[in-house]
Amino acid sequence: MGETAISRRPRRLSGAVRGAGILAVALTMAACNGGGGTGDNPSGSYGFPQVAQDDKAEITVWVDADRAGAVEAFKKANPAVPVKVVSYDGSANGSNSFRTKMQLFDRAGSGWPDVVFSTQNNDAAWASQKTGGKQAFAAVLGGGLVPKATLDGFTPGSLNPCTVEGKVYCLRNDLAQAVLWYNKTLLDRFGYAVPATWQDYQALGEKVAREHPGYIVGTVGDAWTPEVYFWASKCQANGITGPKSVTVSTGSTECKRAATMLDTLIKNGTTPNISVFTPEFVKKYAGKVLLMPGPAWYAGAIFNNPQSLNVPKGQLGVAAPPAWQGETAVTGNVGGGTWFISSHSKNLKAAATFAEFVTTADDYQVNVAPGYPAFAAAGDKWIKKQESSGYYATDLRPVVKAGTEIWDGWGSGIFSQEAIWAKTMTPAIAGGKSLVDLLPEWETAIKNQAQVNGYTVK
Amino acid sequence: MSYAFIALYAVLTVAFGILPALYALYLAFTDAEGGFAGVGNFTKVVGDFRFMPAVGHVALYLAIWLVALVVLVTLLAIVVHAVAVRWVSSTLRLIFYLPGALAGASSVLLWLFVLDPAAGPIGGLLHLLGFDSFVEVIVPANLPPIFAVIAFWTGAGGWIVIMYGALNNISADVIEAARMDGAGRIQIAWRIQLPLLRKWISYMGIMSLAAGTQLFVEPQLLSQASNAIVPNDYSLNQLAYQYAFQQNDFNGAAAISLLLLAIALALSAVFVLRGGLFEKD
Amino acid sequence: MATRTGNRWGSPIVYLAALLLIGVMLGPVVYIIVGGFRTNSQITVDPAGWPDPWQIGNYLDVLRSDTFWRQVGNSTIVAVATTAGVVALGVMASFVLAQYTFRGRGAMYALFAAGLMFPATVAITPLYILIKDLGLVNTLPGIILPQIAFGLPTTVIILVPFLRAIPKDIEEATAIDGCSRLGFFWRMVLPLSVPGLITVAILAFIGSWNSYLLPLFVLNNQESFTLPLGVQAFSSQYSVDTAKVLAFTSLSMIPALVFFSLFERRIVGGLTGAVKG
Repeated sequence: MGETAISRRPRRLSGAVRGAGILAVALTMAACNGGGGTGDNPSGSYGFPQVAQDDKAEITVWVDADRAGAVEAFKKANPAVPVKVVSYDGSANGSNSFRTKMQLFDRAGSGWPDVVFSTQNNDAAWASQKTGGKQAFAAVLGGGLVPKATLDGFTPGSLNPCTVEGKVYCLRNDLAQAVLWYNKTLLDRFGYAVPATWQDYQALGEKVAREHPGYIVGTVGDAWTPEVYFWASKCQANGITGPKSVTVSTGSTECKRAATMLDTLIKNGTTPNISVFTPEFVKKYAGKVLLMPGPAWYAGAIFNNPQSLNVPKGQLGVAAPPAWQGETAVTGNVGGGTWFISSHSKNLKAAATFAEFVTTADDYQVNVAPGYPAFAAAGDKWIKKQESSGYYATDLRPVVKAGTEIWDGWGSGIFSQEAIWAKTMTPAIAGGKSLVDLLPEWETAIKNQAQVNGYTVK
Repeated sequence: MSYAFIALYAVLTVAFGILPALYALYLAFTDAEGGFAGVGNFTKVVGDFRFMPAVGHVALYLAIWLVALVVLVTLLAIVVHAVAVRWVSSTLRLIFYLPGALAGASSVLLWLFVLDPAAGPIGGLLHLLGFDSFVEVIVPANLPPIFAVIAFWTGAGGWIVIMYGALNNISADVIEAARMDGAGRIQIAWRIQLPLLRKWISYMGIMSLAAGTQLFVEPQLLSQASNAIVPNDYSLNQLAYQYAFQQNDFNGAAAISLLLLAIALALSAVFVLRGGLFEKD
Repeated sequence: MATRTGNRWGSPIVYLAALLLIGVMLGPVVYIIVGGFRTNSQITVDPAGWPDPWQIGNYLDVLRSDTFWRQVGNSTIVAVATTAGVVALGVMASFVLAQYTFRGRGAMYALFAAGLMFPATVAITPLYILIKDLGLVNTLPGIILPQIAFGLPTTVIILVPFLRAIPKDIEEATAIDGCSRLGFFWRMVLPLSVPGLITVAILAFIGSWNSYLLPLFVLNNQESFTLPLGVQAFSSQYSVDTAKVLAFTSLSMIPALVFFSLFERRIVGGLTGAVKG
């Protein structure tokens, strides 16, 4: 027995060595030419290189759990198109899984899904760019892949987070414009008027602190605080001026006035430093939210949600975002999903049909979707449907109007402003520091983060 | 037969261990285009504004966790072993192991519940300690002990069981003889049990060190769950991850990994030398 | 010195400390198990309270969901297969390594130790490419194979000294009995090394059970998730449904507890057995 083993020895060894060699070669090959575009049509008719097309090929779509309904609606309406669904986390909560996985696929040279839904607004910034000489993941949509009429049908400005250097790389699922939510019943009972300016808002907050302590007019505990307050104040914290350049200046009057206002309101307890998605918030403030500037999706996510604030029917009102005295009102935006088509898709036609359907068709956007549709026609119908539910104490026109008032001086860079705020500002506020004093620190943090992500900072 | 025995092992190690490691080595010394970069990647990552804080975080965490682990696990194993009542001893082992049955990520999520002053079960205690909200609990200064508690909570049980098994290996005659000589419980532990555990303590130290320097899951999950209040570049391994997948700089990521490896190896030398692991026998 | 009973029971302070520690270890586990029997509003009103009334619904919901069973199944398969692979390959390799004294053995040992220390983050890219080339992306073998490889250094480090401790004269004796080396391995080495194998098995199982990073990369679809990924996905999807998350989490402990109860006895009994042998 020992004899045979010895005689077999050299062969096994060389086999193992050869195996290792092949592996090594495979590794280097894959690592070096992961481009994947097989070059059947190097220029491509839509403005990017595409692979050989097959109209019958199955398309793979990546969606989060909330968008499963979109796929169902599509399958019902287009039974002939074969769709494979992969559920993933939607890149939410800073998991960044969309980008991470696409980079792996880039390196491996295959594996890309055909359509991807992302909950974030930061994805066009990287998906539109070549990485390491490899073709950009996102397909250009404006070059004929999606009809111009469809693109024009989106609410003006809603495709800004999808647009890089004038080209559109994704379709917006929903708009997340900030509006002023309020509890009409409470406001009437206390005899307060809905503030039209941020100055009124602050004054009201101070009044609430004196007359009805315990009630709140907003929160600063979530990572989107800068988007709700500072974006709406035209603060120059996120001036993305190109794919790789950004202007940051948090020392401006616009930033300071928002910070000063919040300092006052944090101090008097009317804007607590607690995330609206914590049990703590629900426990302390259910029934005590008088005003709340925040994105359109707050309605379903926290107000009309039995697990959250659970505001009864007929109490929730909505007003246009306040303006700073003497200026026209602008507002910020907190997320709003996006749909991407892969430039590597073997069936671009089906992929485009899918992306168009889920963003524009009534079957999904009006009948099923929880958020305010970015596609204008669907948005109008969605509003009518919501109003007819009888839940709201006011009409929802301010939501529609705010959708067109999003300030365009705040961009969608590759790095996350929310993560920077959460890391540097939230703990500091918890430690009792003033926002005005923290502004320089915030600027440094943004600049540092921009720089390590390859941005030229001004 | 020898080669047949070792062949499968060798194939797996080469494929999933050595080749990726060599690739990392290659990456660390080249730039994005594949040209030789010298120590460029290393100076870049060390100069990164996130690097030193991450080193500090990991070092503090390691210091707390390793000391707690080595001291407490050894002590507990000896105590559990000293319990003469059989069912008490086995129940204790089960209790210590119990948290380890939670699949990794769940234990982090569980501690998120527990450490919430408003909604957690020990809210009263946390309020007493001066924490009024979750954000105050997870301020950066508190994180190393929190991660150490989580890691100890999930990891200690398995080691206690292993140490217990090692203690069983000491023959009863030796202990009885010592007792006849008038040695007390503590003396027995110190003079007889501890030296015999030396090797196992070293194993535990090295493996925990390896796991500890690679701290990733706990801060990563806490970061996602706290909406980034706990930063996603808290530990060195997370920073490497950020380099690779946020900045698409795999060379920088490889450089961080190699630095991490160097630190871990240097530290593990302590255990190797003190534990006599590679002594010729 | 101490009396006989004092020896048996030790000092009260030690026991008090042990009790406190038991509270810390056990408290959170009790909290999730009991919490699963409450409703969300009960938890919100009094986080530390007792279920009133007891709700079985959360547990039934979880037990009725396909997702839960699929993830428990995935995790169990991965952990068991990894453990088996690590132990089988590890003991074979360690046997060979333990038999020969050759120069540079210390260095090779150090290499294994270095393998332990290697941060997985950076190896993940080449690993991924390899797994993809083998066609194993999104499959359980795609996790099992690399995990076996990762578990091997630990195994070798622990098992080689263990096997070397098996007295040489036993081998010589069996050789005289006309036993082949394979027979020696099978009949003598394996039974004698059981305690070492169990130790290694426990470490491999725990490692696989907690593994997060590798599945995160290899598995794309939530359908194929293992528990660590699944629990996280579940809890972010049902972030407001605390009670259900607690029920899901407590049920997810069961396979690891079964494993523990099977092997814990063996390590204790086995080690004493080895001394006698």
